[in-house]
Amino acid sequence: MEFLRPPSLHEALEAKAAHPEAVPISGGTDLMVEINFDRGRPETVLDLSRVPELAEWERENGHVRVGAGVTYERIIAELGEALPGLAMASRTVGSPQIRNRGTVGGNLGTSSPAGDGLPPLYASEAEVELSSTGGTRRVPVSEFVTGPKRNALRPDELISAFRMPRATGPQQYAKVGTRNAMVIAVCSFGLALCPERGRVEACIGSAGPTPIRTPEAERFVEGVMEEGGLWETRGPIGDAALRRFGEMVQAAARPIDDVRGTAAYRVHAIGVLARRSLGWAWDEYRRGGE
Amino acid sequence: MTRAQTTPTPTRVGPGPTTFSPGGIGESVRRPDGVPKVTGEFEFSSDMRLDGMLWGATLRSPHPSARIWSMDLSRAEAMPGVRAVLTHEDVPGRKVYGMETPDQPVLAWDRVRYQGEPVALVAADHPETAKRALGSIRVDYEVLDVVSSAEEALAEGAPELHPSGNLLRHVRIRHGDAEAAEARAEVVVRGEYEIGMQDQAFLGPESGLAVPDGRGGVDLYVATQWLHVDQDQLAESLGLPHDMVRLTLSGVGGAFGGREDLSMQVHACMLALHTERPVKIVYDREESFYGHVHRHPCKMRYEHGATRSGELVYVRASLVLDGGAYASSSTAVVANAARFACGPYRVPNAVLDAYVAYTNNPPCGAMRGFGAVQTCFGYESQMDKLAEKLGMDPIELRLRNAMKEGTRLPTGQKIEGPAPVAELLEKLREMPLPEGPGGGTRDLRELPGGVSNTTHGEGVVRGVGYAVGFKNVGFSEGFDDYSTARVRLSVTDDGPLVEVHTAAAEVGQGLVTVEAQIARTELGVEKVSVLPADTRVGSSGSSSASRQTYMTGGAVKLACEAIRRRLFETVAERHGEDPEGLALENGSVVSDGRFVVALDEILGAEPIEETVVHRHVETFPLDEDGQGDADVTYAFSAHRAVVDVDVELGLVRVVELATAQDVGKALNPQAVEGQIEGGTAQGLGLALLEEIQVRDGRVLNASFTDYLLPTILDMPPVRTEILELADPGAPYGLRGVGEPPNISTPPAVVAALRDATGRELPRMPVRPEALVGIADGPPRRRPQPGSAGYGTLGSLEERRDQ
Amino acid sequence: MPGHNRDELTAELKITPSPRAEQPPQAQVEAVMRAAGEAGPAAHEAGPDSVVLSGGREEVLDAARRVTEAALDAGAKTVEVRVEAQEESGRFGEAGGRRGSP
Ligand SMILES: Cc1cc2nc3c(=O)[nH]c(=O)nc-3n(C[C@H](O)[C@H](O)[C@H](O)COP(=O)(O)OP(=O)(O)OC[C@H]3O[C@@H](n4cnc5c(N)ncnc54)[C@H](O)[C@@H]3O)c2cc1C
Repeated sequence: MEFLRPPSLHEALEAKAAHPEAVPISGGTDLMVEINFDRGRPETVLDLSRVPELAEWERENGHVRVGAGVTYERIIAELGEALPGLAMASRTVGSPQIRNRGTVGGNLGTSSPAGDGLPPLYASEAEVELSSTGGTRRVPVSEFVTGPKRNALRPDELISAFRMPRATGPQQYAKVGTRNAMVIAVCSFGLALCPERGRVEACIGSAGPTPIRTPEAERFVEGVMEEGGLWETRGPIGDAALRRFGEMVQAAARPIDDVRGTAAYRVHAIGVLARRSLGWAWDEYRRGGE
Repeated sequence: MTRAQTTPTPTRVGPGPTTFSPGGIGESVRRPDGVPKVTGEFEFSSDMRLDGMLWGATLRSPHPSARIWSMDLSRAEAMPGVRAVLTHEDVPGRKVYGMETPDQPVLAWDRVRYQGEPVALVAADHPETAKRALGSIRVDYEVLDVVSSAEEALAEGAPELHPSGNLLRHVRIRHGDAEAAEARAEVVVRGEYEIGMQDQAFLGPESGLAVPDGRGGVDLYVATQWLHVDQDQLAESLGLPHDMVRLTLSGVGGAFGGREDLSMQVHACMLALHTERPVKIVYDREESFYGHVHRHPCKMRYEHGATRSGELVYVRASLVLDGGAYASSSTAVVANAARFACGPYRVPNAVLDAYVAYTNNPPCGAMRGFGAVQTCFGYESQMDKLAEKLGMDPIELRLRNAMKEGTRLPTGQKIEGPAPVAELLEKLREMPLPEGPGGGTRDLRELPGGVSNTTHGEGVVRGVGYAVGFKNVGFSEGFDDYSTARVRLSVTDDGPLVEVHTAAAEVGQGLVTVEAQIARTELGVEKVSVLPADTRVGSSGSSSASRQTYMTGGAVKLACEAIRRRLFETVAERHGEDPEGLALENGSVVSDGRFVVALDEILGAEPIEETVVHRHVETFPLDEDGQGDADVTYAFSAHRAVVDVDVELGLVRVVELATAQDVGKALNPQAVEGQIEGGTAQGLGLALLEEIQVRDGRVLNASFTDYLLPTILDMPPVRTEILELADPGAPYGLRGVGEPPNISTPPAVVAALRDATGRELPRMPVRPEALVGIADGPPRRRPQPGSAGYGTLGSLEERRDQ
Repeated sequence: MPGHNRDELTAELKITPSPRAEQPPQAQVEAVMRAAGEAGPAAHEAGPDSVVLSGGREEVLDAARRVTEAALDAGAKTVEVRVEAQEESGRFGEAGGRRGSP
């Protein structure tokens, strides 16, 4: 096994161009598991953990650009205000050891429908930045992930960063697992309120081949808010609307039965998470007005 | 590019003696391996290395049931770095093994009966090479029908796994006259219960190092539970006399019953003898799931009859256990399930039938609790059901029927010595309950779902449940159960030293500490050295059945007493003292507190050594009606579980587990608490999480990604009350400690879940699906928007359109 | 954990099928396994051409004879029989036994 350890992004991209078969490794919390399970034996490994450019994040007019190598622990510590939904999702990932190593770049690289980093990115319509020696392209995350554990990365490309809007309202992330920590999502739900645009953005995780946006449910709630003038009055949404939102989110789920849970349970739980998350986010919005 | 580093490997292996100054019995003594384990310095069996060592690997069947038509080894044999490729043809001796019934192939010949059954072996210079060589072996399988459950196995016309059929054992117990008693029963409750397949999930996977001695014999360093039963089976299958197969215990990372059967032992020795090189085999976690037996899944049908005042009149029970493909210890497990099927209660009449069958599922055998875990879930669920039907407090009902000294079990055996079932329940009842789920903002970590942010208090309901359980200590049904200890008292430059040598396996339970405490107490010598366990001394029996402190602790005690007698005879002779009045204190012989002579002086250059065998009272097999004094003694424990359930999501946070247990005598209180907390955690795991999921003979979750063990956020604090009611027949009056907590925890947790949800919950582990009332199984029709009565609301578009 | 199974006697029967018999070798072995399964005591395969019978003295000796006959009837060339007494079984108390105390 050849082990490449470039010291800069430039050299990393050159290495990838020269060795398109090389498998990138960031935190290694997915890749090493695969190797231990004997599910793949890369000829060449490209270690990105020493590439400084990947471990940086910066503000870009209303957006945040986060390097693919920023760990969950840092997202929690440094981006809790700018990207609260992603920070909440990061808190649900694995254990302290995993959060110290694991990265959202790796989560994107794996493209698992259960990846906890993905629903917040989907909800906020993040763009994934893909770089090669030939240049950089930006792809909406929902186009980047093409199926379960499949994505649009080309052999000569690396994920260099993702870019998403700074939060302008409350965000939530909730995840159901059978154990109270260190668990792969049975299903999950990410939500972002964008009061300035009158938008509600939501995404289901781990209940379909990819994360799933819920446009009908979102439009429904937006309608409820608009109709009641709730964005302005910060009045209550009402139980019926919350429930209806949960049901419409349920309708978008496309789960399967597996060892972690039945499809029926996932559908049920998604509805509960959606209803509760919207309630919490809305409560926070209302309190924000006090 | 970086190069693989080569670190020098040693030329000798094997653990050394553990020398320390323990406290006496009754004191909390820190285990000497505690700090090295926490700091990573402890050598587990998987850490051993030796110069010129090869790596062994095992080819396993991907099919749960298949015929093997042919095997092509040529590509593996031709691979550079491969030193041996072996099949059943290379097994030098008996081709089958098994502790009770040798029915399990060392390597399969023409048929495989479970997924993961060993088929061929490879030894290579590097573990990677060995793995690749396995991948190049071609096996021509013809896939056969799978017998996927015990019921299926026992049905008419089922394919037979072994020549004498699929029924491995039926234990039948007839006690009193149940038919006549039925008339007296004013209230009857029936229930069906089921328990899934739990794994021991010890943290150190199977591993060992076999070293050929150059004269046709072999030394095996291995993590196991019972060196001598391994040695017996190794000698048979290697075709060698016992003295040419020597075993030494190496660092064990937990056992819980899962190391009682052989795993890699014969394989590593075969490869070592064949290649004349040391061979190490280490399973990874996935292979470990296929490499050892599991807890028996069990289906139970119960009927309890009682008077209106809550007195049990009769119990009928039918238990069906899935033994998997090979016998392992199934025949003993099923007998335990039957003997303890009525629980620690006075049951005057009982009709009990327990069956264990061969199936194409993973073999099942010993696991902490050994048959008593399954039935405790059954009878305690029934007791709650009965209490509810009678409108009685569940503790009251249990107290009314609690077994006590002198009660006869359904086997006719009379309970000798204290049976503090009522006391344990009273203790629990007296313990204050933890605070209720208060309002306000609570730490997410204290809520169901934990850090996953699923509830901020919504849907959370508190539940409380109780259970009490018991089981036998030591081996039953007439087995000649004994332990051997060799103790040597000598004088070194640093003063007197006691050396203790037994073959008993320290599997984490704290045996080394207890052996040393006993020697210290009995001989009054500060420095004790516990030698590595090996087969150079007689058998100690297994570190199982909660028996090792009782049996091997007892043997050490007897050996010390023998040494003391010899010493006192010498002192009496030389100093004209009455031997009866002598005692040992702080390295001296004293008489009524008066110094007589220092040990250094009296022993001089003549150490005293004694080897003693300790046997417990004789036990007897059961007759056709299941009658007989099959057991040595019993251990009892009770649990109270307090849970918070998110009844909408079916997620659970166990708030507290409280327990009361009679341990007879706590030799090392800290270790006793450790055993109780560990057993309680393993019980919580069974109640909520831990299950090997098997479909059509295939394991679906052979990894810790999907076989979930409780984390620190799942396991609450344990409130422990330890009773010390001496067992009259036992050394120091002690009882076994390790298993009871694993028995009474699961039903207590499930009872609390029932209390919170009002659901029946007949199956363990209880999945979120069951807690919210969604059946496991294929998805039903999805709920449609509007189905919950909000149809009139419609979407905004729809409303605008109207 | 060892339990109740301490059989008085075990008999291992090893069959050498005859290539010249009417039935093919595989069928000869299968006939023996079938006979062993029906013979009464517990029967377990112990190798490609071996079966072990275990149980009480009389039943095992009886069964060994019947299985041997079945092997010969099926056309087997030789049947090796090895009978072994279990060392510990003598210490095994009587079924349903009670301790000394009344
Ligand atoms: C014990 C444990 C618990 C876990 N719990 C969770 C959990 O709760 N939630 C969750 O979502 N995940 C969990 N995971 C999975 C894992 O931690 C996450 O998916 C994490 O985000 C992976 O990041 P990484 O940096 O470690 O990725 P790596 O393992 O280094 O890489 C993952 C994949 O991405 C590719 N890759 C990495 N970086 C790049 C790049 N810059 N460009 C192109 N490709 C790249 C790699 O080639 C590989 O295919 C857990 C894993 C473990 C071992």
